[in-house]
Amino acid sequence: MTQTAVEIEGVRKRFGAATALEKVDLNVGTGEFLSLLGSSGCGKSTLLRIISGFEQPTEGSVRIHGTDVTRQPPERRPTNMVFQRGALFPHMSVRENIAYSLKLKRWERSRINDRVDEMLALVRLEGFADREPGKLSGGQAQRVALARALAGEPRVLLLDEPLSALDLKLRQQMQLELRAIQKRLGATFIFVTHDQTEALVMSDRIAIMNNGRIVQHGTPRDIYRRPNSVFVSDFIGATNLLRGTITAVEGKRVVLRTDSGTFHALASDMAVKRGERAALSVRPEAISLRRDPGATPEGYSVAGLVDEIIYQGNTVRVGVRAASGAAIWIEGRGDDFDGLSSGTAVVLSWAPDAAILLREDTE
Amino acid sequence: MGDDMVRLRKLLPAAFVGAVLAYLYAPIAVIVIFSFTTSPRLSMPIEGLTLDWYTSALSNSLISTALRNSLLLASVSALVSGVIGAAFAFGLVALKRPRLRASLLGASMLPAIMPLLVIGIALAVFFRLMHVQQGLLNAAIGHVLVSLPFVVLTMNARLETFDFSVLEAARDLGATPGRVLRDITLPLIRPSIIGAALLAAALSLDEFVVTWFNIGSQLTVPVLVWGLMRRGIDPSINAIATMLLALLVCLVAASALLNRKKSK
Ligand SMILES: Nc1ncnc2c1ncn2[C@@H]1O[C@H](COP(=O)(O)OP(=O)(O)O)[C@@H](O)[C@H]1O
Ligand SMILES: [Mg+2]
Repeated sequence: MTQTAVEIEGVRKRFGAATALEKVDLNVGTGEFLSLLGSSGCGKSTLLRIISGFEQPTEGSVRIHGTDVTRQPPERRPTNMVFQRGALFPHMSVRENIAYSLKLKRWERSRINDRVDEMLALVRLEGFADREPGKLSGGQAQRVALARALAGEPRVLLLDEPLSALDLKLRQQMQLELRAIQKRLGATFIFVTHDQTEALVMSDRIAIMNNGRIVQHGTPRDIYRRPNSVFVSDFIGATNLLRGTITAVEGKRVVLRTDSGTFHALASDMAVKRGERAALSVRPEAISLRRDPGATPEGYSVAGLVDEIIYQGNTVRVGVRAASGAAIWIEGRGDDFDGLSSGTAVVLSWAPDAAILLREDTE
Repeated sequence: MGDDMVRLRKLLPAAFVGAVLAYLYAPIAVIVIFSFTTSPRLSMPIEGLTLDWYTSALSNSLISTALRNSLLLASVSALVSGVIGAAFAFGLVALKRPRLRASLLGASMLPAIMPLLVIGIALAVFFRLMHVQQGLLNAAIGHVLVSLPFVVLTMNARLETFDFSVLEAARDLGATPGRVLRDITLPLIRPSIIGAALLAAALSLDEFVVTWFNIGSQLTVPVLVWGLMRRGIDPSINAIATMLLALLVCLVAASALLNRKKSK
């Protein structure tokens, strides 16, 4: 991150009595692909609309490449937006749609045509220039919307769930295409999605939002491996949460008593005290399963009975019920679990650093 | 026997539909037919066909004055109701608060179900209180009042499916609000506005009650026909009615066509 493209400082947004954004601070680097990830209603679109100028923040400021744009109308900002359902102009051809911003900038006609052709090539829609938007498929329409938004070379491209209306196969293909285009152009993209897989696949960095706040941001890997809250660990990928009370703190090592047993974990940089409520997050794929009770690593294992086996094609999910009644899910390759059936007694264990200690979210 | 019953059961609905259609259209068909027959009296069988009633209607100076006034009022209604109604409906649909939107729409609809007699008398009394002489202007104001709710209603129905994000997209791509109106909004809703305006013209052309109370000594086609009818049925009335009918059918059909177009 050499230079900051977007600086959002202390942005708060109220709609009447309701608060959509609660003091948001966020920096986006030049050339970065940043995803705003969160469930519906958490304020993602509102934040994007504040960056693009369609909403005014109640408090706080937005700077783009060092210039304060908080009070600028959308048409003056160096940002362009790709809308959820394209929002192509239905009375203009694909070419006219892509050319619109260039016409407003009074480019010469031949230069506009060259640029439109270049954009059509970028989104692999050569030959579609004269189509009406009504005669495009969903995926093609979103490609045109992307070309239209990129034509004027915005300093920041904003995308509000542009793939959410497409079916899964096409969505996955477009994710990769979009990412490739962003890398090729070296452009700054801020991408809104509620789909955690999409965010993990595409982003340099993810900012996770909940209730109008950014609760964690970092690289996909960081967020997946080191969630900072029960909310994030639950939201990003599937996880097993073992909730209990801290009974001992021995240096970095923490002992947590839960209904399912007593577990050990490392309190990385979190200050914890005896008696506090906490949760342990263990990813399903980090758990290994054995049938012989043998020597089990104390503090990093739990015994139970197989409850459910779910085939997912290339992977299998196994639900194990601990003596306490808690269900623990593990996931692995199909042949890892050959010969298991409902009721088989098993022991689950994991590596010490696979268990992540999380403070319970305080509302 | 059973076969006859079955046939009867099949025929009965068809006969019923036929009767209803005859009830709806027979009087109109009779007028259209007799506007072309030679006999001045309404009688059967038809003796011969002629366009004399049309030439005599159009050469009658009273009738041509009435026709001119009617077309003038229809144009004013189309223009004024079209512009005000479209702007009002556009504002309504853009409102974010659904309750406010619904009540404003309801309020603008109310005159459409109010008896025309009440509107006509109320306007007449109002103009009297304001010391405004009866005349064409009063009638024009009445016609706009009567057609405006229908313009708002049709525009509102069309705009319900309007994708407002295209307007934001244009702003986002660098268009000022004025440019957005010119490049995007107007081209997209123009067919609907024209369709609604044609509807307003059609409503104005055959408006009688409100006109009668407010137009004073001036004439429109319906007012003139009413006067002529009091003196007996003149076949040129059939010709006038048929011309009015043709005009209205064209206006309403064009309006429906324009509103259907692009309403995807
Ligand atoms: N124009 C508006 N008026 C009132 N409330 C709004 C408006 N826009 C958004 N909100 C509210 O703000 C919250 C955040 O909305 P939004 O940013 O659209 O969420 P997301 O995009 O994450 O689904 C929601 O509770 C929503 O109802
Ligand atoms: Mg949204």
